[in-house]
Amino acid sequence: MDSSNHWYRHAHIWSQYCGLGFDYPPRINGVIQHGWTFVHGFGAGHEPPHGFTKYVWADVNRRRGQAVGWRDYYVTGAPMLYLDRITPHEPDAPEPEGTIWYPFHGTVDYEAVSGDHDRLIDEIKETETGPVTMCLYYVEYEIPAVRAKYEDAGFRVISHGTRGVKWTGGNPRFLSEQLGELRRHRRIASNRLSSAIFYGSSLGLQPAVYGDPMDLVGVKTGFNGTDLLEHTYPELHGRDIDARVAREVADVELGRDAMLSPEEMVLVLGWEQEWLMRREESA
Amino acid sequence: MTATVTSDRPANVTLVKGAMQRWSDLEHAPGGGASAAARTYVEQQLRPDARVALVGPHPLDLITGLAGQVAHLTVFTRSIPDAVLIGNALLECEGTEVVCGSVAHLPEAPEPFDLVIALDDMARVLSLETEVLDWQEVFDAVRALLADGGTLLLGVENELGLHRIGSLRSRYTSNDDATWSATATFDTGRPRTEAALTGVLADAGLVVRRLGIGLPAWEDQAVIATGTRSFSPQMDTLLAAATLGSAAFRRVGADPTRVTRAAVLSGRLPDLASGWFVVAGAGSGAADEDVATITATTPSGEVVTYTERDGAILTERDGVAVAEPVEVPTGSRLLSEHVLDACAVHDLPALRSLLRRYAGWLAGRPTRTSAGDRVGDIRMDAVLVADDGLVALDPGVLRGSAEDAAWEGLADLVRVIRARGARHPWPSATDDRTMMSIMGAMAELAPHPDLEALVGTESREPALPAYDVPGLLAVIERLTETNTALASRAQWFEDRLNTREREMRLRTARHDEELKRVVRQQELLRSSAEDVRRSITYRAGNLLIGPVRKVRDRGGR
Repeated sequence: MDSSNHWYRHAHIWSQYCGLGFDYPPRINGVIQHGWTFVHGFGAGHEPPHGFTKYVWADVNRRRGQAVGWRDYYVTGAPMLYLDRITPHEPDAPEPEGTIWYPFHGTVDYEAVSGDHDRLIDEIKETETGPVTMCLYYVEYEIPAVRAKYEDAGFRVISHGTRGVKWTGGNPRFLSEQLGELRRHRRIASNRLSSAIFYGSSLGLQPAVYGDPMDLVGVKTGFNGTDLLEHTYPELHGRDIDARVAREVADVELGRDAMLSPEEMVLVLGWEQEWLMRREESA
Repeated sequence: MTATVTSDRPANVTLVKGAMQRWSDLEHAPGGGASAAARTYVEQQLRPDARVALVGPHPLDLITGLAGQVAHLTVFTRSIPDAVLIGNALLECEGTEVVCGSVAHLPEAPEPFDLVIALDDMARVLSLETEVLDWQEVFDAVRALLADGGTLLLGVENELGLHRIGSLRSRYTSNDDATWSATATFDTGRPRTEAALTGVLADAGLVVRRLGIGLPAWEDQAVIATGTRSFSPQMDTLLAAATLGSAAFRRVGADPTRVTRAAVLSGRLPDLASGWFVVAGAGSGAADEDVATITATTPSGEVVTYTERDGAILTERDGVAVAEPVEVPTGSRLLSEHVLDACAVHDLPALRSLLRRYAGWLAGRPTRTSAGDRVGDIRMDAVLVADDGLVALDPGVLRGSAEDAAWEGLADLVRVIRARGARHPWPSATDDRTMMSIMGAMAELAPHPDLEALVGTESREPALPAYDVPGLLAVIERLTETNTALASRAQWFEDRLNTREREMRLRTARHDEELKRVVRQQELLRSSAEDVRRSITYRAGNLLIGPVRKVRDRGGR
C-alpha cells in the first residue's frame, strides 16, 4: 500500500519470514515504520491515512502516537530483527573486527546534512584503533569529493545503496548487506542515534555515538533530535558506551519482545488468503 | 499536534530521560491543588527554609506562588511544553529549577527535599518515553526524593469516588489521547481504599500525620475534610452542606440528586470521596491528632474552615478566625433538602410554610450598612432548618434588602431544580420566571420587577467531566414533560384556531349563499318586470292610457 514499505524491503523480509517468498510480498493495508525515530514511528510529512494500521517497532512509538491523536497501531518489532532471525550465520566467517561508522544522513528528497567531514575524520581517527569501514548514505556516496575524503583517510568506504522511489528501484539487498556488514564488525559508531546504532547494539556490537552531529538543513519542526537525544538517551552517547546497557535499550527500541510468529504476522498484515493459497498449492 | 522546539527552552529547564516532546498536561487539566481548599493544605506545609519538590502537573499560579515562599523549588514535569512554560514563569525566581522527564529515571539522585508535593496522583507522573511503570513504582520514585524527616503531601484519586460512579464515560473503555497508558485504571498496584493507601505509606516508612478527603469531584476539589471518622453529626451536616452547596452541583446533569444525596443521607460521604490527601512524614514521629476539619471553597471564592474542638465548631474565613462558633442544631437538615422534598411530593402547604419561614427569617437579618460588613451566604444550601427556626451556616449581613435576598435565594433554587431535573409541583410548561414568581407569591414577596435578570444568571464554571447518567436522564425527562405540555398547548391552540377558521369559512359560505339567493331573487323580479313591460296587454294599455294622461296632465296645469 505505502511505498515506504518497500524502501528497505521491509515488506519483502516479512513476506519471506511468513513463507511467502522475498520477491513479491502481498499488499499490506498499512504502513511499516521504516526507521528508528524518537517521535511516533513516522517521519515529517508521513502521515499514514486514518484507518490503516501503523506497524511500529516498539510500544513507545504507539504511546507517542496515541498522545498526538493517532490510533490503530500494531507493535511488531523491527524487520531487521526478523531478517537476522532468518539469515543464517556463515560458518566460516572471520572473527568480527574494526568499526563500521555510519555518518548521520538526511534524505535527498527532504533534508540534507551540513557539517565538517574533515573534523569528523579526525575524531574517528582519534577514537577508533582498528580498521574503519565508512558506510555512507547513497546521497553522500554519490558525491565523489565526499567519498574521496574518507577514502583518503584510509577508511574502507561502502554504501548500502538507494532505497527506491514509488515501488521502483532501490537496492533489494539493502538490509541484507547491512546485516552482513554489521556481523563483520566489532564496533558500530555514528555521530547521532540512528537505526544503524540500534541494529548494531542489538546484534551485540560495541556502540559509540560521538563527533559533530551535523545539522539537518530543512528539518521539520519537532523532528530534529539535536539537543534532545543526548538528554533523553544519555546512556547511548559517548565513545565508550556500556554495550550491555546499549543492547537492552536497543532491544526495547527495536521491539524484540514484540516480535510475532509467522502465523500471527500473516493475520496482522492481512495476508491470510495468500498464505492459505500458498499452503494449498504446496500441499 | 504540539510542535516542540527544544533548543528554545529556558536555562532553568533540565531535560532528563523520559522528557515528553509533544504532550502538555496543563493543556488537558489544571492539575492537582487547583482548588482554594487544596491550596490551604499546601500553605500549611510551607517553611521559608525548605527545599520543596513539586511532582506532576499543578496549576502554574500555584507553582509561581510557591516559588517566593520557600528556599528552593524544583518542579518535576514529564512534558517539555509544560517545562518551557513553567521555566519561563520562574526565570526571575531565585532558587528554582525545572526538571523535565521521568522522576523514576533521574540521572543522579537530587539532594533530598524537605517537602514533596504531588497532589495530582501518580498517573500523570509516569512518562510515555520510558518503560511502563505501575502506580507503586512511580510512587517509590517520588518517595525517594524525600529527605529523612521530610514531609510528603500526596493526592490519590479514589476509583470508587462519586465522580467516577457518576461519570458519563468509563475510564476503562475510553481511548482518548491521554490513555496511551491505562495505569490510571488497569493497575493492581494502585491503592483503592484508605486502608490500602495508609498501608502503602507505612511500607514506605511514612507516618500519616493528616488524612483528608476531597469532594465533590477529583477535577473540582471544592471541599477537603480531615478526621472524618471522628466527625460529630454536626460536622457531618456541615460536610453535606458544603458538598451539596458547591458550584459543581449547579451544572446541568451534575449528580447530587441520586448518589451524592444517598451518600449524605446514609452518612457515607467520606467513603465515596473523589480522593485522599495525605500529609505524611518520613522517619520516626507520631501521627498528628485526628483533627476534624472541613475546608471548603465557597461560591464567592472564600475559603472557610470548620474545626471541631471540645464539642465546639470553630470557623475561619480566609484564615481569619470567626469569633462566634458555628451553630449546628442537632438533627437539623439543609433548607434546600426540605424544599426540594416538598417540591417532589407536591406538598404545597409545606412548601408555602418553608418559603414563608425563609422570607421571614431573611427579613430579620441585618443588612449591609458599611463596605466592611461581610455578606453572608443566604442560599438554601447554606441554611439549616432547626426545630425553632432557621440557622445560617455563613451568618453575614445581607447584600441588599431582605426581599432582594429572598429573590436571589429563589433564583438559586430554580437553577438547582432545573440543573438536577428535580421533580416539582408546577405544570410542566411553566417557565423559570413563572416558577419563581409563584414561589415568590408563596413566600408573600412583593412582585419582582425584573425576574428575567435573576433567573438568567448562569454559572460560568467550566463543564464538569463527571456527570450522573440518571441525573441527565432526569433533566431530559423534565424537559420532555415540558415539551409535551408545550406541544399539547400548541395543539390545543391550533385546534381552536382550526375550529374558528372552519366556523368562519362556514359562515362565509352561508353568507355567500344568501347573497346569491338575494341576487337571484332580485334578478327574478327584474326579469318579471321586464316581461310585464313587454306584454301586449301592457303595451295596448299604454297606447290607450297615454293620450288620456297627456290631456289630464295639461288640464291639471
